[in-house]
Amino acid sequence: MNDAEIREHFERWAQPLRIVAPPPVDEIHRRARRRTTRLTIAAGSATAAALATVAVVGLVTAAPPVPILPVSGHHGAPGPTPAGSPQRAIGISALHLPRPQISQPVTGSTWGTGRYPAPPAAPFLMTLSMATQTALVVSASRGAVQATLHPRVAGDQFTWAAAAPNDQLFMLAEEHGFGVTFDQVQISPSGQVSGPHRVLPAVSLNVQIYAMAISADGARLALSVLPHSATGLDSVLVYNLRTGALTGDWSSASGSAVGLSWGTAGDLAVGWQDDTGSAPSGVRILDTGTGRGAHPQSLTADSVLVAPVRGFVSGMITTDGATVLAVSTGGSQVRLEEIAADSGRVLASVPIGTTGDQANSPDFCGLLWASKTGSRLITQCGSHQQLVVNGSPTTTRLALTIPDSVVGWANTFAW
Amino acid sequence: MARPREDFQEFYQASYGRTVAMVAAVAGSRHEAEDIAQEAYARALARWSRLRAYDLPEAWVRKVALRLAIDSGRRLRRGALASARLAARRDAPEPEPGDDLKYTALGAALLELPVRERQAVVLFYLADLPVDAIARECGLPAGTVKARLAAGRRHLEQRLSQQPEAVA
Repeated sequence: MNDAEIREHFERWAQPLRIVAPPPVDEIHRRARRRTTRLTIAAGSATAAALATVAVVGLVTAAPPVPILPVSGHHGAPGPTPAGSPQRAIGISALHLPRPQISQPVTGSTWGTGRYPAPPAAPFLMTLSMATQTALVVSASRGAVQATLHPRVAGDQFTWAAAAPNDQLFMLAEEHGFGVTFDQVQISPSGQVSGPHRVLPAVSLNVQIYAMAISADGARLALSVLPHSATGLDSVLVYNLRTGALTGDWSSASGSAVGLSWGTAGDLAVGWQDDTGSAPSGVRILDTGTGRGAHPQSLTADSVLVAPVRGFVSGMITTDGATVLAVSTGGSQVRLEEIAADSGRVLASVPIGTTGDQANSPDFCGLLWASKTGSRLITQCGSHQQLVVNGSPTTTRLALTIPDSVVGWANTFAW
Repeated sequence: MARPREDFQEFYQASYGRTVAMVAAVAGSRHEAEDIAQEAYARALARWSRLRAYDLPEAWVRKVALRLAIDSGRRLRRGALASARLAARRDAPEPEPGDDLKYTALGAALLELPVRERQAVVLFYLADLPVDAIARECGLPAGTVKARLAAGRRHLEQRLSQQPEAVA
């Protein structure tokens, strides 16, 4: 039997399957909105029983009851506080991503004095290991794991990490069967790790987080969420971390907030993906001071598109609020555009990789870190990493190759 | 230019059957394959704004789906092997819609392969990918892929020559 004959067997075997009618695309939309949906192939009763036991790992000894964080009405009613244990099986998304590997240094650091290039003002990064369901605090310059943080409950997973611009305050979102909790982690300049400390009660799992950002002063948390209900709208929610109050809720039916970052004076940069095809995508600036608590407001009406970008993928604003950094694709190239926030003028356009680097890579493609003014940037696209200084790129190799995630855009690391 | 929601729908409808076939060949069950494929498309939808710019978004979906199938396959291996043993004692039946594909001769033979070997075989014979592309997709040296293909081909030859595939 030769290859052609074996192929013929496969063709005949696959034929009835290739003409299978797909379920309505609405079902895929619904499924995307409830990422925690069970898989029929998931573990059987033994695994379920194991997960039903609320075990405690890591830094705490008991999982406290979880109240529900205020979310405005149109996102759907909050899910019930669990009478028992988490019901969600281990997210299968977490099972196939590699553990972050520390690279071998090449020819010495091109930035700073450590083994690996790293901004001296931001010596630590946090990366989620989807393989081990942990968050690793890594010294970017030494390539050493400073601390390993575990979810509070066995079977839960960290789904997002975000860093405040001071590089000392990090936020982790931990997904449960019944909600999402937020934990704060402090890292001292010497690398002493404190936390995680719970800072907010749980959001109902009726929403799925698409982006997360913590303000420079550590006082505000912004979330981009997609409700799981079929009629819900994409929303940007802002919480006061000191009081736990929802201070603003902006929604839109015409697109999605695919990235969030804080500028100055309460300005929130929203990476905006227009879904209508009739308006540009890019970065919008939202004045979060206009928020009216849980009262829904219009995201597009209350924000200004400061940087329309063709082929927009993701975007952020620098901490000084002066420069928008946007990743875009055009042809086979992935580029990073540096755009003046006040005039919309393109200051620099830097190639950071190719769409091929994105297409089949388990590694992230986009911006990893930006200095306060954006004069120094670190990018990665697939396995290719660059240090960009004043718009001029140099190939580099960091301590880590940041993995990608099939569930989000930039949720597997914070720097 | 089509709107994102519309071109996702077009992509989904055009490629769904191929993805299901691919996953079924690895997972051994049409129902499991459909579930896994839908999960992969849901993940693709969640990042469609980026994937739609790719030359081959279907390759991304296939990769995610096969990874999911392999992960689930580890847990199901015991059950699948039992089914394969059962199938080996049967005459090859006509496959019916929804019937587990492992009851076909090719399906049973595939399920006897180690899952990583099965993945290489499926990508080669069903997805029609060359060895280099399989190596890139699986993150393996080409030599490893060739070795797995050679072993898988030997096994399939042996099993399929004993029991011709039943075709609906």
